Amino acid sequence: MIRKIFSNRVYSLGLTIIFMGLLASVVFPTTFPTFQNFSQILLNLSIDTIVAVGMMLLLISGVFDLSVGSVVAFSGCLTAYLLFFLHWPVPMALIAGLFSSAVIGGINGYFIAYLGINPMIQTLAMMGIVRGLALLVSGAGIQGLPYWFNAISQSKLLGVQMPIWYMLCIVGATAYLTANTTFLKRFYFIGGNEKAAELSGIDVRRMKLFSFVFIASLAGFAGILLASRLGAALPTSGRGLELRVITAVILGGASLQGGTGKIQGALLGALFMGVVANIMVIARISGYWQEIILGIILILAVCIDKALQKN
Amino acid sequence: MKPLIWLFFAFSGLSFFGCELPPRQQEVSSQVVAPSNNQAIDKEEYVMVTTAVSMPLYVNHDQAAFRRWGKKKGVKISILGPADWDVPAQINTIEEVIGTRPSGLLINGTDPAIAQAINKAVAAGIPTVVYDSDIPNSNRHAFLGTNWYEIGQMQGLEMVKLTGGKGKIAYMGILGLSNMEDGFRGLLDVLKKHPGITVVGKYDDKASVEEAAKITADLISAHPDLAGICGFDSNSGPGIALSVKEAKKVNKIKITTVDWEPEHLQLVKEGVIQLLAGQKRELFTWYGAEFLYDMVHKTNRLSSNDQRAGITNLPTTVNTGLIKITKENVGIFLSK
Amino acid sequence: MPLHLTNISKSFGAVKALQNIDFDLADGEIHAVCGENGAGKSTLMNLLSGNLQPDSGEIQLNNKVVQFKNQTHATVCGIAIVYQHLSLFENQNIAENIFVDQFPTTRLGLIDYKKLYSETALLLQKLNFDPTLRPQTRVSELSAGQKQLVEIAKALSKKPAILILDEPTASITEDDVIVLFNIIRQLKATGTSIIYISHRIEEIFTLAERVTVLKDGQKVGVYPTVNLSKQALIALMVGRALPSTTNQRTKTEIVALKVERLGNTYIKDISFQLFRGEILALAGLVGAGRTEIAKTIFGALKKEEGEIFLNNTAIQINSPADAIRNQIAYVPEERKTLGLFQEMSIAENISSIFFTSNQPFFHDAAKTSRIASDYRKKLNINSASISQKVAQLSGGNQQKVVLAKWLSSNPEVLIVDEPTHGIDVGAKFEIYQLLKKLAAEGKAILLISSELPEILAISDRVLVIKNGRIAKELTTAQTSEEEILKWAM
Repeated sequence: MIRKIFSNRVYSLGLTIIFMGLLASVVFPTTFPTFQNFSQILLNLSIDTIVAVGMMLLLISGVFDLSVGSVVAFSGCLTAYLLFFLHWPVPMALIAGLFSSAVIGGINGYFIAYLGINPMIQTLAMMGIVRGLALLVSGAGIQGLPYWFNAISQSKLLGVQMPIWYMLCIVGATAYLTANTTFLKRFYFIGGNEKAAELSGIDVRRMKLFSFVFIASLAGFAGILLASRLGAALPTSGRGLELRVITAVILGGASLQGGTGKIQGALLGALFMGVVANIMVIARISGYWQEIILGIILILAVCIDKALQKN
Repeated sequence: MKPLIWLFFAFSGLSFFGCELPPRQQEVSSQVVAPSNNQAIDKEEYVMVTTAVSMPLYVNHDQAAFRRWGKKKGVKISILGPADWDVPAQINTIEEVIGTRPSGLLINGTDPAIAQAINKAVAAGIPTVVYDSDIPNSNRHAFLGTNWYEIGQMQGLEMVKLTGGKGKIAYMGILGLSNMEDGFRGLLDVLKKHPGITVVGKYDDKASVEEAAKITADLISAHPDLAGICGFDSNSGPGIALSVKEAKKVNKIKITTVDWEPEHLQLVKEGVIQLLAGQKRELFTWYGAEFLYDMVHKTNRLSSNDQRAGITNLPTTVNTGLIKITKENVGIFLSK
Repeated sequence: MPLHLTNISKSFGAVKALQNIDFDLADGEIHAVCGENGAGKSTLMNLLSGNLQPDSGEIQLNNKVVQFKNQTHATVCGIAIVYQHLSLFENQNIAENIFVDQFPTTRLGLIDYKKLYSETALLLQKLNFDPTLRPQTRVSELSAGQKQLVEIAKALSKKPAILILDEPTASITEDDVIVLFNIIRQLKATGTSIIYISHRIEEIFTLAERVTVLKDGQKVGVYPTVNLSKQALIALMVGRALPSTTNQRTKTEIVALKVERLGNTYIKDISFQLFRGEILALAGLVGAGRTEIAKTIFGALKKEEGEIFLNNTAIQINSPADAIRNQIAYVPEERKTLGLFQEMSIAENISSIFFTSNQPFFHDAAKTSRIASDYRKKLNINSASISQKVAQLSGGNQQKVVLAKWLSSNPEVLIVDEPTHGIDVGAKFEIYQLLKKLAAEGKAILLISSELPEILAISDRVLVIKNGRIAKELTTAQTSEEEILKWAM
């Protein structure tokens, strides 16, 4: 029974987070367990989590996308550029930002699925190209965005900032649909055995194309949320986001071989990293320790998995 | 599927009616709140939030001076922020720190986008000082730093002198950072006045020595008659110098750049680099911390109640000035 | 070098893989080991090759007790093994593959290429290797049979006294089998003892002097092959006498599938008719184009010319999804790489057919798991539950899972490609029964098989394929292995 709980990452990680939270509440009773702190943690991880949902789907099908960090920066910068310099109305600029991100994903997906380019090389190249585009569009960054654009992220619902709600909706909807629809569940088969999936009548290439468009659209949305939250578009934002997201997703139960993982795991992985980061800030532990500790935790998590599988 | 649809409607209804929009106007400097200060002195803590905490330039200057200050004053200090250059992560850290209510916040002004986080800290009643680059659209209580436009100007003027006002000149730095862009502007404004000078390009060395060296090598082969290169980040100088030395063009290609790490000073001494436009980074954080301390302890009272009067007892903007290092005075800095 | 094993036992957790096994091998003997999958053959071989250590018992080599620490140690003691699954580096040449762990070096410690190639040439000569292939030939350019010979050369380069061959004929053509057998006899003549493991019972009788039969980790006995009949050996392995498959003809005159002048890069001018209730076999050598015909009909390979008719109406098939929609099923040849999702459960594997684009948007998990448990019972899939991972099943049960998956799509035309490859006798028999039953229900079955006895036992007609074309159509009842081979070669 206990082994069963621990071999399911969603439970084991959830329990670990609760345990960590309780421990932190005991050590920092005035600063950790407050509504303000919890909503701050969630707000800070919402951008990563939205991208992580897409990354989870990709890793379930056995590939990953390194260009998402750049897409986050690009969509924010492009939307801000359209708003600030060309005075586009907010909805139009949003659609343009999302659509261009989807196009980037489409290019990635087409090259990977239909021309057979290795996903790592394709998305690595795209990472540089899109980062360059972001710099080209925004220069040193764009400040002073319109009020209604900023309201997208800065509004609150029930005292909680909107990005948290967007994140919860995206995680909830994608998790439900991935578990219950024939369309999204196909990714498990593609990740399990691509050739067998093809012979089972699944159009693997179209699904791959879709998954890259999907993650790029999510990254585009995340970039818009980030720009709206900061009230400014930064061409340097989203640096290192891709690796952070992949880490969160692997902590959340995905494997690089594909075939395993649940969408909820993406949220839990990101939450775990967010709580660790928050505790370090509260405990005043410097940034580089955070990276060391997260690295150790990742290795530990994977080792525990291996040990459980062996038994 | 029914419950799903209901859930969707319920949520959209809720967001439509329950949505709380952000305040309309981001008023600047009209509500400069000086904190109501009831904290006991023994719980006093000053927190620095930067980005790229492990960058040697920051560690050796900003952070070293801040640590020294904390030891001298006998107060607790903490240095936080992401290990890499990641502004959103710095903003996240600032916002998480606000909840822990430190006595004062010393913030590296890395990007205008951190304005809102600064405003949150100010609104929460935490004395907040920005250093390095100013965040003009924020409610920060004080700013200390260098004027990057002047850094560009100083490099430009020296370059004109070194090249006699003619020849091809290139410059590089980290593209997309507002302070660098200010510096580039300062440089170009000077060079513009000298028609004998052609600017061959603006390059992104991505804050990496290797990248700077590569760009320089390519430049030298594309323009064998290159007269000078200006660098704007800490790693530009060493990278440019490396390639210039390898091409045996020392002194033929003039180099001006920023920062005065031992490596830079050594290159000036060797005569590879002709000018360093140095910043007084130690002063940013030392006096920044001092400002916070004065604000917390109300060292100088300007009225019967500064808070009600809506003023702070700090200088609003401090320019710490520049250090000009050339072959003549480099020895003095080396023996420090 | 004589080898004696006494009272060897080995367990993995609760599973007793081997119990009190005695085994002996005389100088220059060919000794076959046979048994169903899971009987303990692989464990025994791993003990002999040093990959595993016995829990109890004694291994005597040359009348001295030895304990193999690892494979290298076993090799030093004179035992070399040729694995069933090819373990070659496709990106390296023949010589580099053979000497991968023992490159000859010059005095400076660098690789001595001259010596490497000359020694390889010598070895290849000894094995009567195709003289057009040089030691510098890339392994990826070789045929399956040639690769198997390279594996043997690799084992021989260690100059073993005892050579273990694990299913050496599993993936090679009849031609290569003959070459291989000559080499094995040659080795025996020079005094090498050979342990020969095979599913193919005929081979055991042609080669071996004695055969040890294992069942469920225990030794059934050791028998000289001269006193043994095929039927008796199967009975020993299975533990019961198998009824011979009665070949009841259920073929009707209604055409289910008609193929006209099908062609692409791999196949040319393929025309045939497949009737309801019929099992039509495609025979031929490996690489003759049988699988390509199946894949082209199924839409997994591009069709460049020709037409496909289902129930006398022309249909367009451009992808497997199209074929599935038209109720054509294809059970692929390599079930591990093409048929199964190893890390997924039986239920998920069977349900994987319900994810084509014409399925409803929401997946009905209850329905598919009901189908899975039905088929588990119907096909007698030996497993703990439908949520067991297929990787943990035996080859025969895995094959049944793949069959169940395709049967649950309720096909009119069922294409099965090497359905009994690498599975044990009992499971083979069950699959024959199943195919016969399906034919009796009126399904049209296209069977691709390299095992001629299998084709003769269950098919109605045979199409012999050679170089991508139909060489000859034969009626099963009036033909023989020799005739099929004659047309295939």
